[in-house]
Amino acid sequence: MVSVSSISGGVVLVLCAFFYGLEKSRVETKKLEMTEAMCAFVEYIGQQIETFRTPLQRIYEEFSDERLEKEGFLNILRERGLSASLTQIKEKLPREAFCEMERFSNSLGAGYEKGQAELCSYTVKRLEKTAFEGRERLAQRLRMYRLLPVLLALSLVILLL
Amino acid sequence: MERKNTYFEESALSFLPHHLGEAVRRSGGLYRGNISEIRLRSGASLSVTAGAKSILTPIRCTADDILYTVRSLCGNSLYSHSETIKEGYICTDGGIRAGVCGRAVTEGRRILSVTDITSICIRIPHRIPGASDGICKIMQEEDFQGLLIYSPPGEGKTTALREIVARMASKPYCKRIAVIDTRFEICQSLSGDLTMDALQGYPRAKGMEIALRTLSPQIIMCDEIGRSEDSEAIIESHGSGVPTIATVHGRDLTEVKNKPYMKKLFDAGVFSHAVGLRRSAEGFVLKVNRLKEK
Repeated sequence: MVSVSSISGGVVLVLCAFFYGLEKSRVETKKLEMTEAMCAFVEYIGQQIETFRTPLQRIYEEFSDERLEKEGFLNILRERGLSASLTQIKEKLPREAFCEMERFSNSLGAGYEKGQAELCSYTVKRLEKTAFEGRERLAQRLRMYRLLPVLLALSLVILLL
Repeated sequence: MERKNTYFEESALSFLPHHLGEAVRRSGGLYRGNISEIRLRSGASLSVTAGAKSILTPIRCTADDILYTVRSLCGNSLYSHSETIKEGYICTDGGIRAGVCGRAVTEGRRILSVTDITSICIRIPHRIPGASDGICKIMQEEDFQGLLIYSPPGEGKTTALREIVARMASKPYCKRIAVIDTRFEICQSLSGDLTMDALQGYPRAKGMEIALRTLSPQIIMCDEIGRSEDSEAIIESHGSGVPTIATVHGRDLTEVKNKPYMKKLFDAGVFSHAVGLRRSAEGFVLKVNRLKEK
Protein backbone atom coordinates (compact mmCIF):
# COMPACT_ATOMS: atom_id res chain seq x y z
CA MET A 1 0.00 0.00 0.00
CA VAL A 2 1.14 3.53 -0.80
CA SER A 3 0.90 5.76 2.24
CA VAL A 4 -0.50 9.29 2.17
CA SER A 5 2.87 10.65 3.28
CA SER A 6 4.62 8.97 0.33
CA ILE A 7 2.11 10.50 -2.06
CA SER A 8 2.52 13.94 -0.48
CA GLY A 9 6.31 13.55 -0.69
CA GLY A 10 6.01 12.65 -4.34
CA VAL A 11 3.77 15.63 -5.03
CA VAL A 12 6.22 17.96 -3.24
CA LEU A 13 9.10 16.55 -5.28
CA VAL A 14 7.24 17.04 -8.57
CA LEU A 15 6.22 20.58 -7.56
CA CYS A 16 9.81 21.45 -6.62
CA ALA A 17 11.02 20.14 -9.97
CA PHE A 18 8.33 22.16 -11.73
CA PHE A 19 9.29 25.40 -9.97
CA TYR A 20 12.99 24.69 -10.51
CA GLY A 21 12.25 24.39 -14.23
CA LEU A 22 10.27 27.65 -14.14
CA GLU A 23 13.10 29.46 -12.38
CA LYS A 24 15.66 28.19 -14.90
CA SER A 25 13.40 29.40 -17.74
CA ARG A 26 13.09 32.81 -16.09
CA VAL A 27 16.89 33.09 -15.72
CA GLU A 28 17.44 32.17 -19.37
CA THR A 29 14.81 34.65 -20.58
CA LYS A 30 16.35 37.33 -18.40
CA LYS A 31 19.83 36.67 -19.83
CA LEU A 32 18.46 37.18 -23.31
CA GLU A 33 16.73 40.42 -22.27
CA MET A 34 19.95 41.68 -20.68
CA THR A 35 21.90 40.92 -23.86
CA GLU A 36 19.35 42.93 -25.83
CA ALA A 37 19.57 45.77 -23.30
CA MET A 38 23.38 45.77 -23.59
CA CYS A 39 23.02 45.90 -27.34
CA ALA A 40 20.84 49.01 -27.10
CA PHE A 41 23.28 50.54 -24.60
CA VAL A 42 26.31 50.06 -26.85
CA GLU A 43 24.36 51.31 -29.86
CA TYR A 44 23.47 54.48 -27.92
CA ILE A 45 27.12 55.03 -26.95
CA GLY A 46 28.12 54.65 -30.61
CA GLN A 47 25.54 57.20 -31.77
CA GLN A 48 26.55 59.70 -29.11
CA ILE A 49 30.23 59.36 -29.96
CA GLU A 50 29.73 59.57 -33.69
CA THR A 51 27.25 62.45 -33.66
CA PHE A 52 28.15 64.59 -30.67
CA ARG A 53 31.47 63.25 -29.31
CA THR A 54 29.76 63.27 -25.94
CA PRO A 55 32.11 62.33 -23.09
CA LEU A 56 31.41 58.92 -21.57
CA GLN A 57 30.37 60.21 -18.17
CA ARG A 58 27.66 62.34 -19.76
CA ILE A 59 26.52 59.41 -21.93
CA TYR A 60 26.23 57.27 -18.80
CA GLU A 61 24.21 59.94 -17.06
CA GLU A 62 21.83 60.44 -19.96
CA PHE A 63 21.22 56.81 -20.88
CA SER A 64 18.16 55.16 -19.39
CA ASP A 65 16.80 51.63 -19.60
CA GLU A 66 14.33 50.13 -17.19
CA ARG A 67 15.87 46.65 -17.22
CA LEU A 68 19.40 47.91 -16.56
CA GLU A 69 18.16 50.37 -13.96
CA LYS A 70 16.40 47.56 -12.07
CA GLU A 71 19.56 45.45 -11.97
CA GLY A 72 21.54 48.33 -10.43
CA PHE A 73 23.78 48.43 -13.51
CA LEU A 74 23.16 52.10 -14.32
CA ASN A 75 23.78 53.34 -10.77
CA ILE A 76 27.19 51.67 -10.59
CA LEU A 77 27.94 52.73 -14.17
CA ARG A 78 27.43 56.39 -13.27
CA GLU A 79 29.43 56.15 -10.07
CA ARG A 80 32.27 53.77 -10.92
CA GLY A 81 32.34 53.27 -14.67
CA LEU A 82 31.64 50.43 -17.07
CA SER A 83 34.06 47.78 -15.78
CA ALA A 84 32.64 47.91 -12.25
CA SER A 85 29.04 47.86 -13.46
CA LEU A 86 29.71 44.84 -15.66
CA THR A 87 30.98 42.90 -12.66
CA GLN A 88 27.63 43.63 -11.00
CA ILE A 89 25.69 41.84 -13.73
CA LYS A 90 28.23 39.15 -14.63
CA GLU A 91 25.84 36.34 -13.66
CA LYS A 92 22.95 37.91 -15.50
CA LEU A 93 24.56 37.91 -18.92
CA PRO A 94 25.43 34.94 -21.14
CA ARG A 95 29.16 34.18 -20.92
CA GLU A 96 29.84 35.23 -24.54
CA ALA A 97 28.01 38.53 -24.10
CA PHE A 98 29.89 39.26 -20.87
CA CYS A 99 33.27 38.57 -22.53
CA GLU A 100 32.29 40.81 -25.43
CA MET A 101 31.29 43.62 -23.08
CA GLU A 102 34.50 43.20 -21.10
CA ARG A 103 36.59 43.58 -24.26
CA PHE A 104 34.47 46.59 -25.20
CA SER A 105 34.96 48.28 -21.84
CA ASN A 106 38.75 47.84 -22.05
CA SER A 107 38.93 49.77 -25.32
CA LEU A 108 36.13 52.27 -24.77
CA GLY A 109 37.35 55.85 -24.44
CA ALA A 110 40.90 55.03 -25.51
CA GLY A 111 40.67 56.10 -29.14
CA TYR A 112 39.43 58.75 -31.53
CA GLU A 113 35.81 58.95 -32.70
CA LYS A 114 36.11 56.91 -35.89
CA GLY A 115 37.76 53.99 -34.14
CA GLN A 116 35.38 54.23 -31.21
CA ALA A 117 32.32 54.29 -33.46
CA GLU A 118 33.66 51.21 -35.24
CA LEU A 119 34.28 49.52 -31.90
CA CYS A 120 30.67 50.19 -30.93
CA SER A 121 29.19 48.91 -34.17
CA TYR A 122 31.41 45.79 -34.03
CA THR A 123 30.30 45.11 -30.45
CA VAL A 124 26.64 45.66 -31.36
CA LYS A 125 26.96 43.11 -34.17
CA ARG A 126 28.56 40.56 -31.85
CA LEU A 127 25.89 41.11 -29.19
CA GLU A 128 23.11 40.87 -31.76
CA LYS A 129 24.56 37.57 -32.93
CA THR A 130 24.66 36.30 -29.34
CA ALA A 131 21.08 37.49 -28.80
CA PHE A 132 19.90 35.88 -32.05
CA GLU A 133 21.48 32.55 -31.18
CA GLY A 134 20.11 32.87 -27.66
CA ARG A 135 16.58 33.46 -28.98
CA GLU A 136 16.84 30.42 -31.23
CA ARG A 137 17.96 28.24 -28.34
CA LEU A 138 15.51 29.74 -25.88
CA ALA A 139 12.28 28.13 -27.18
CA GLN A 140 13.93 24.73 -27.15
CA ARG A 141 15.42 25.29 -23.71
CA LEU A 142 12.22 26.62 -22.20
CA ARG A 143 10.41 23.43 -23.23
CA MET A 144 13.23 21.39 -21.76
CA TYR A 145 13.36 23.32 -18.48
CA ARG A 146 9.61 23.03 -18.01
CA LEU A 147 9.30 19.35 -18.91
CA LEU A 148 12.56 17.63 -18.02
CA PRO A 149 12.69 18.28 -14.26
CA VAL A 150 9.02 17.32 -13.89
CA LEU A 151 9.52 14.12 -15.90
CA LEU A 152 12.62 13.24 -13.91
CA ALA A 153 10.82 13.88 -10.64
CA LEU A 154 7.86 11.78 -11.76
CA SER A 155 10.14 8.89 -12.76
CA LEU A 156 11.87 9.11 -9.42
CA VAL A 157 8.54 9.09 -7.57
CA ILE A 158 7.33 6.06 -9.54
CA LEU A 159 10.59 4.23 -8.86
CA LEU A 160 10.47 5.00 -5.16
CA LEU A 161 6.81 4.15 -4.62
CA MET B 1 50.47 88.60 -3.35
CA GLU B 2 50.08 85.26 -5.07
CA ARG B 3 47.45 83.17 -3.40
CA LYS B 4 48.35 79.60 -2.45
CA ASN B 5 46.99 77.54 -5.26
CA THR B 6 46.66 74.11 -3.70
CA TYR B 7 43.11 73.53 -4.97
CA PHE B 8 44.14 73.57 -8.63
CA GLU B 9 47.35 71.70 -7.81
CA GLU B 10 45.48 68.89 -6.11
CA SER B 11 43.08 68.81 -9.01
CA ALA B 12 46.03 68.54 -11.44
CA LEU B 13 47.67 65.80 -9.38
CA SER B 14 44.48 63.76 -9.48
CA PHE B 15 45.05 63.21 -13.21
CA LEU B 16 48.42 61.53 -12.63
CA PRO B 17 49.02 57.88 -11.74
CA HIS B 18 49.26 57.55 -7.95
CA HIS B 19 53.07 57.09 -7.81
CA LEU B 20 53.68 60.20 -9.94
CA GLY B 21 51.29 62.27 -7.85
CA GLU B 22 53.17 61.18 -4.73
CA ALA B 23 56.52 62.05 -6.35
CA VAL B 24 55.29 65.59 -7.06
CA ARG B 25 53.97 65.91 -3.49
CA ARG B 26 57.38 64.86 -2.12
CA SER B 27 59.68 66.75 -4.51
CA GLY B 28 57.58 69.84 -4.96
CA GLY B 29 56.53 70.01 -1.31
CA LEU B 30 58.44 73.22 -0.65
CA TYR B 31 56.77 74.93 -3.56
CA ARG B 32 53.20 73.84 -2.87
CA GLY B 33 50.78 76.52 -3.82
CA ASN B 34 53.12 77.97 -6.44
CA ILE B 35 53.48 75.08 -8.86
CA SER B 36 52.64 76.32 -12.33
CA GLU B 37 53.45 73.27 -14.48
CA ILE B 38 53.85 69.54 -14.20
CA ARG B 39 55.72 67.98 -17.10
CA LEU B 40 55.74 64.34 -18.12
CA ARG B 41 57.98 63.04 -20.88
CA SER B 42 58.08 59.41 -21.85
CA GLY B 43 61.37 57.85 -20.66
CA ALA B 44 62.46 60.99 -18.80
CA SER B 45 62.10 62.30 -15.26
CA LEU B 46 58.88 63.92 -14.17
CA SER B 47 59.48 67.63 -13.60
CA VAL B 48 57.67 70.42 -11.85
CA THR B 49 57.89 74.16 -12.54
CA ALA B 50 57.43 76.53 -9.64
CA GLY B 51 58.08 80.19 -10.36
CA ALA B 52 61.08 80.17 -12.66
CA LYS B 53 62.52 76.96 -11.15
CA SER B 54 62.34 73.53 -12.75
CA ILE B 55 62.48 70.72 -10.22
CA LEU B 56 63.30 67.21 -11.44
CA THR B 57 61.76 64.38 -9.47
CA PRO B 58 63.59 61.03 -9.23
CA ILE B 59 60.69 59.22 -10.96
CA ARG B 60 60.87 58.36 -14.65
CA CYS B 61 57.69 58.47 -16.69
CA THR B 62 56.81 55.47 -18.79
CA ALA B 63 54.63 55.29 -21.89
CA ASP B 64 51.92 53.73 -19.71
CA ASP B 65 52.06 56.70 -17.31
CA ILE B 66 51.58 59.06 -20.24
CA LEU B 67 48.68 56.99 -21.59
CA TYR B 68 47.02 56.88 -18.17
CA THR B 69 47.38 60.64 -17.74
CA VAL B 70 46.04 61.43 -21.20
CA ARG B 71 43.02 59.19 -20.64
CA SER B 72 42.33 60.68 -17.27
CA LEU B 73 42.71 64.27 -18.55
CA CYS B 74 40.16 63.39 -21.22
CA GLY B 75 37.75 61.91 -18.66
CA ASN B 76 38.36 58.53 -20.32
CA SER B 77 36.88 59.95 -23.54
CA LEU B 78 39.83 60.63 -25.83
CA TYR B 79 37.52 61.06 -28.82
CA SER B 80 35.76 64.03 -27.23
CA HIS B 81 39.09 65.91 -27.17
CA SER B 82 40.36 64.87 -30.62
CA GLU B 83 40.06 68.37 -32.10
CA THR B 84 42.00 70.08 -29.31
CA ILE B 85 44.61 67.29 -29.24
CA LYS B 86 45.25 68.09 -32.90
CA GLU B 87 45.79 71.71 -31.80
CA GLY B 88 48.18 70.47 -29.11
CA TYR B 89 46.21 70.66 -25.90
CA ILE B 90 43.57 69.07 -23.70
CA CYS B 91 41.25 71.11 -21.49
CA THR B 92 39.62 69.50 -18.50
CA ASP B 93 36.24 70.41 -17.06
CA GLY B 94 37.94 71.87 -13.99
CA GLY B 95 39.78 74.54 -16.01
CA ILE B 96 43.15 72.81 -16.15
CA ARG B 97 44.88 72.81 -19.50
CA ALA B 98 47.54 70.36 -20.65
CA GLY B 99 49.77 70.75 -23.68
CA VAL B 100 50.36 67.45 -25.47
CA CYS B 101 52.54 66.31 -28.32
CA GLY B 102 53.33 63.02 -30.01
CA ARG B 103 53.29 61.67 -33.54
CA ALA B 104 51.10 63.59 -35.96
CA VAL B 105 49.29 61.76 -38.73
CA THR B 106 49.04 64.28 -41.55
CA GLU B 107 47.48 64.69 -44.96
CA GLY B 108 49.19 67.51 -46.75
CA ARG B 109 49.47 70.26 -44.16
CA ARG B 110 46.42 69.09 -42.24
CA ILE B 111 46.82 67.10 -39.02
CA LEU B 112 44.39 64.18 -39.08
CA SER B 113 45.19 62.91 -35.62
CA VAL B 114 47.93 62.70 -33.02
CA THR B 115 49.03 59.30 -31.82
CA ASP B 116 51.70 57.99 -29.43
CA ILE B 117 51.65 61.00 -27.14
CA THR B 118 55.09 61.33 -25.55
CA SER B 119 54.97 64.64 -23.68
CA ILE B 120 52.40 66.29 -21.47
CA CYS B 121 52.69 69.69 -19.84
CA ILE B 122 49.92 70.24 -17.30
CA ARG B 123 49.50 73.97 -16.72
CA ILE B 124 47.90 74.91 -13.44
CA PRO B 125 45.73 78.04 -13.59
CA HIS B 126 46.40 80.68 -10.99
CA ARG B 127 44.25 83.32 -9.43
CA ILE B 128 46.15 86.34 -8.17
CA PRO B 129 43.53 88.60 -6.61
CA GLY B 130 44.57 92.22 -6.92
CA ALA B 131 47.01 91.52 -9.71
CA SER B 132 44.86 93.35 -12.21
CA ASP B 133 44.57 96.56 -10.16
CA GLY B 134 46.98 98.51 -12.37
CA ILE B 135 45.27 97.40 -15.57
CA CYS B 136 41.77 98.04 -14.22
CA LYS B 137 42.83 101.61 -13.39
CA ILE B 138 43.87 102.11 -17.01
CA MET B 139 40.50 100.77 -18.16
CA GLN B 140 38.70 103.45 -16.21
CA GLU B 141 40.59 106.29 -17.84
CA GLU B 142 38.43 108.47 -20.04
CA ASP B 143 40.48 107.97 -23.16
CA PHE B 144 40.60 104.17 -22.83
CA GLN B 145 39.94 102.62 -26.25
CA GLY B 146 41.56 99.21 -26.05
CA LEU B 147 44.43 97.45 -24.36
CA LEU B 148 47.14 95.14 -25.54
CA ILE B 149 49.00 93.00 -23.01
CA TYR B 150 52.32 91.56 -24.14
CA SER B 151 54.96 89.38 -22.53
CA PRO B 152 57.00 86.27 -23.30
CA PRO B 153 55.18 82.94 -22.72
CA GLY B 154 54.62 81.96 -19.09
CA GLU B 155 54.67 85.48 -17.63
CA GLY B 156 50.98 85.46 -16.78
CA LYS B 157 49.05 87.08 -19.63
CA THR B 158 46.17 84.64 -19.30
CA THR B 159 46.20 84.98 -15.51
CA ALA B 160 46.01 88.75 -15.92
CA LEU B 161 43.03 88.45 -18.29
CA ARG B 162 41.29 86.16 -15.82
CA GLU B 163 41.80 88.68 -13.03
CA ILE B 164 40.55 91.55 -15.19
CA VAL B 165 37.34 89.62 -15.95
CA ALA B 166 36.89 88.64 -12.30
CA ARG B 167 37.24 92.29 -11.26
CA MET B 168 35.52 94.23 -14.04
CA ALA B 169 32.61 91.82 -14.51
CA SER B 170 31.68 91.95 -10.85
CA LYS B 171 30.32 94.61 -8.53
CA PRO B 172 30.73 97.57 -8.52
CA TYR B 173 31.89 97.75 -12.17
CA CYS B 174 29.61 95.10 -13.72
CA LYS B 175 30.94 95.65 -17.25
CA ARG B 176 29.41 93.43 -19.92
CA ILE B 177 32.49 91.53 -21.04
CA ALA B 178 32.45 89.04 -23.90
CA VAL B 179 35.36 86.66 -23.45
CA ILE B 180 36.49 84.78 -26.56
CA ASP B 181 38.01 81.82 -24.76
CA THR B 182 39.29 79.86 -27.74
CA ARG B 183 41.36 77.43 -25.69
CA PHE B 184 39.14 77.15 -22.61
CA GLU B 185 41.80 78.79 -20.45
CA ILE B 186 40.15 81.89 -19.11
CA CYS B 187 36.61 81.20 -18.04
CA GLN B 188 36.58 77.68 -16.66
CA SER B 189 38.25 78.58 -13.40
CA LEU B 190 36.07 81.66 -12.90
CA SER B 191 32.93 81.47 -10.87
CA GLY B 192 30.51 83.74 -9.09
CA ASP B 193 28.07 86.41 -10.12
CA LEU B 194 29.82 87.84 -13.17
CA THR B 195 28.48 89.93 -16.05
CA MET B 196 30.61 87.90 -18.43
CA ASP B 197 29.58 86.05 -21.58
CA ALA B 198 31.98 83.20 -22.32
CA LEU B 199 32.39 82.11 -25.94
CA GLN B 200 34.36 78.97 -25.29
CA GLY B 201 36.06 77.08 -28.08
CA TYR B 202 35.07 79.66 -30.74
CA PRO B 203 37.78 80.69 -33.20
CA ARG B 204 38.76 84.21 -32.15
CA ALA B 205 37.54 86.04 -35.26
CA LYS B 206 34.22 84.17 -35.37
CA GLY B 207 33.71 84.59 -31.63
CA MET B 208 34.26 88.34 -31.86
CA GLU B 209 31.83 88.60 -34.77
CA ILE B 210 29.14 86.72 -32.82
CA ALA B 211 29.77 88.71 -29.65
CA LEU B 212 29.46 92.00 -31.51
CA ARG B 213 26.34 90.96 -33.35
CA THR B 214 24.42 89.30 -30.56
CA LEU B 215 25.75 90.13 -27.09
CA SER B 216 26.18 93.94 -27.15
CA PRO B 217 29.31 93.81 -25.01
CA GLN B 218 31.03 96.82 -23.46
CA ILE B 219 34.40 95.11 -23.73
CA ILE B 220 35.62 92.18 -25.84
CA MET B 221 38.48 90.14 -24.52
CA CYS B 222 40.62 87.54 -26.26
CA ASP B 223 43.86 85.73 -25.59
CA GLU B 224 46.91 85.32 -27.83
CA ILE B 225 46.24 87.03 -31.13
CA GLY B 226 48.18 85.15 -33.77
CA ARG B 227 46.51 85.53 -37.17
CA SER B 228 45.64 88.33 -39.47
CA GLU B 229 41.93 87.40 -39.37
CA ASP B 230 42.05 88.02 -35.61
CA SER B 231 43.42 91.49 -36.30
CA GLU B 232 40.64 92.19 -38.79
CA ALA B 233 37.99 91.14 -36.27
CA ILE B 234 39.53 93.43 -33.64
CA ILE B 235 39.54 96.33 -36.10
CA GLU B 236 35.87 95.68 -36.82
CA SER B 237 35.06 95.62 -33.13
CA HIS B 238 36.97 98.90 -32.66
CA GLY B 239 34.96 100.35 -35.53
CA SER B 240 31.77 99.41 -33.69
CA GLY B 241 32.94 101.31 -30.63
CA VAL B 242 33.67 98.26 -28.49
CA PRO B 243 37.18 98.30 -27.01
CA THR B 244 39.18 95.08 -27.10
CA ILE B 245 41.56 93.72 -24.51
CA ALA B 246 43.91 91.25 -26.12
CA THR B 247 47.19 89.54 -25.39
CA VAL B 248 50.11 88.69 -27.63
CA HIS B 249 53.50 87.04 -27.21
CA GLY B 250 56.44 89.43 -27.32
CA ARG B 251 59.40 90.57 -25.28
CA ASP B 252 58.93 94.29 -25.94
CA LEU B 253 56.68 96.65 -27.81
CA THR B 254 59.04 96.96 -30.77
CA GLU B 255 59.00 93.21 -31.30
CA VAL B 256 55.20 93.17 -31.02
CA LYS B 257 54.81 96.03 -33.49
CA ASN B 258 56.95 94.22 -36.03
CA LYS B 259 54.64 91.21 -36.25
CA PRO B 260 52.81 91.57 -39.58
CA TYR B 261 49.34 90.91 -38.15
CA MET B 262 49.96 93.38 -35.31
CA LYS B 263 51.11 96.15 -37.61
CA LYS B 264 47.56 96.47 -38.97
CA LEU B 265 46.21 96.93 -35.46
CA PHE B 266 48.68 99.63 -34.53
CA ASP B 267 48.04 101.40 -37.84
CA ALA B 268 44.30 101.32 -37.20
CA GLY B 269 44.87 102.69 -33.69
CA VAL B 270 42.69 100.13 -31.95
CA PHE B 271 44.64 100.19 -28.70
CA SER B 272 45.03 103.24 -26.53
CA HIS B 273 47.41 101.41 -24.20
CA ALA B 274 49.91 98.58 -24.39
CA VAL B 275 51.09 96.92 -21.20
CA GLY B 276 54.22 94.82 -20.86
CA LEU B 277 53.86 92.18 -18.18
CA ARG B 278 56.46 90.55 -15.99
CA ARG B 279 55.78 88.18 -13.13
CA SER B 280 57.46 88.86 -9.81
CA ALA B 281 57.18 87.47 -6.31
CA GLU B 282 54.71 90.27 -5.44
CA GLY B 283 52.45 89.73 -8.43
CA PHE B 284 52.85 91.53 -11.76
CA VAL B 285 55.19 94.31 -12.79
CA LEU B 286 53.56 96.44 -15.49
CA LYS B 287 55.23 98.57 -18.10
CA VAL B 288 52.50 100.87 -19.38
CA ASN B 289 52.85 102.42 -22.84
CA ARG B 290 50.31 105.04 -23.82
CA LEU B 291 49.80 104.69 -27.55
CA LYS B 292 47.52 107.70 -28.01
CA GLU B 293 48.16 111.13 -26.62
CA LYS B 294 45.50 112.59 -24.33
